[in-house]
Amino acid sequence: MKRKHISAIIILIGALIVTFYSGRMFLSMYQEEPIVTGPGVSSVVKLSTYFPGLEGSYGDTDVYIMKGREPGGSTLVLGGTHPNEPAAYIASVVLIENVVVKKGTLYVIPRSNRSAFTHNDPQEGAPQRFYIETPFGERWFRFGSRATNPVHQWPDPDVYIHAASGQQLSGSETRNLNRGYPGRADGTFTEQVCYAIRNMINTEGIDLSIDLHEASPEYPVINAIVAHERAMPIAADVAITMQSNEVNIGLEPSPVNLRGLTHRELGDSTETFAVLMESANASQGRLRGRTDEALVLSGVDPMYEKAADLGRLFVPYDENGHPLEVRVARHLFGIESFIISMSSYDGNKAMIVSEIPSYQNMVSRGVGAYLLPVE
Amino acid sequence: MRKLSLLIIIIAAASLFTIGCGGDESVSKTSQQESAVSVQVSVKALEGPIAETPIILTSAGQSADVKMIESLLKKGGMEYEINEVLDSSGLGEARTLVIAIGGSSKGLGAAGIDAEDEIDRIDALLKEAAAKGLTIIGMHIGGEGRRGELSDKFIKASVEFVDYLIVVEGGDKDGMLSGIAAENDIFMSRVGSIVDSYGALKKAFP
Repeated sequence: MKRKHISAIIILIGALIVTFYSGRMFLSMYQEEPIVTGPGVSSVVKLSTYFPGLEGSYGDTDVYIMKGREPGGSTLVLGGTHPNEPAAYIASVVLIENVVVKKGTLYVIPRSNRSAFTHNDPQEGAPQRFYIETPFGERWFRFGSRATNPVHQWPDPDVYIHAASGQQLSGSETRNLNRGYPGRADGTFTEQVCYAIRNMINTEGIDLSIDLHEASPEYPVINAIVAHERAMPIAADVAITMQSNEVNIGLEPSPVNLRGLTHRELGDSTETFAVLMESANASQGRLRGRTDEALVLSGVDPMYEKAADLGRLFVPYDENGHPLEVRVARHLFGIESFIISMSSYDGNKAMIVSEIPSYQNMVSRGVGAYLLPVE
Repeated sequence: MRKLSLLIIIIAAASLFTIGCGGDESVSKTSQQESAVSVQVSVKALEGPIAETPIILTSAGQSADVKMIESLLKKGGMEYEINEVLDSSGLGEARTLVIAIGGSSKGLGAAGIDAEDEIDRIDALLKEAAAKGLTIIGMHIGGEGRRGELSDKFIKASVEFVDYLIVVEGGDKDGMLSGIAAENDIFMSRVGSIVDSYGALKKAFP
């Protein structure tokens, strides 16, 4: 009897130690990585400026504003809609830390779903963080989840019914920011964030909205732009520009019957040109092998090489993988091309933006060369 | 007995691990080498103009490639009309039908039609265009990304009807498009990029 008590106490202590450390690890995801305010940032406001209902919540996130001296068009870049798509997040951080706007205004929300940065997806074995070498030392970034933290929005329904259309999706999609647009003031936490972003676009009269994403290599819409029909002439021009520079990118129309996504709902419910861009990210794919920081950074994965040999992928995949710097370079090249194309499409929406790292420089020098020192 | 069971479990696990992680390296490398080789089929090159304006532009497969071709036509100052879902009664006064070949599930969804209906539409349209004596120019500009099960359906449904086929070469690595062109005695240009495809199109007009 005594031996049983001793065993029970040992197991209980062991369980408490595991609980303590796993709890600490879970909570460590709430610590936000530094983003350095670059020379072009004129102000930083909270998203709750556009919907006070978010104030003080984990939906309230920073909006970086880069305003030129000369009035002109405006562009919003959404990073971190899905925090397990790191190139989208890092591209938005590079913009904040480097870009200078001479004409017009650039808005960047690097952590669009801030809550989703505070956890990562259970049972995926994903790393919590990844590190990028810079000339000033290492910078760290979180690898979060595709969806809002259940701590902030719970429970999931069995079926998620998109409020504006009645479209039915699986219950967990209720926490997916890119299924919640146009959002509702009295909706779920995620819908309220969508509502605030939509209000921001309407309040500021933002001309162009670019939602940055990544996709698994086995997903058909990859290395692609998805454009709302009003944005299609600009997007076609951008796709041609990128392809002419040997950056292979496809162009897809936004389906009218796929609801809740930025390229559909922001295009329908605001005057903005709504587009979305995807790059190839093995670390969120289903066919991946070992999932670690190296996979996030290099995109090298023998399992994906095999899948490519079997013809199962929608992007070329070899031993060079799809490194983070290439994925970030694609996004930055796309953003710059969109701004230039919109400027020539409509002179009233013209913008002049400088210091966006070129595709070639980002690929050859790496992301770290474009991150500033943390004070 | 316990030790024997444990030994059997360990051997079974080790075998599974070996099978799961073990190397078909030679197989994958071989197929990788094979896939890197492009198939080249000789085709008939276009030597002079075969088409005249006005142009009507449509899609076979509802990909947004049709919008990129529109952008090129607009920049080039060519006279054209566009109707992505053009049916056989809508050819009007057009003298040349340009068809952007390549499937997109998002595009079909946007147009509210399924692949089979799209194939029926293309079939009727191409037959009517041929009967009316229009020059038909097919453009496959999406490269490797615009190949696969869905796109290949539209390639098979349309390419044999065209008079002149323009292909961004990444889309013809397996020689499927040039094979159909050679079989049907179709003029064909392989180009390096979408921008080059405009030059190849322009060659068809006086």
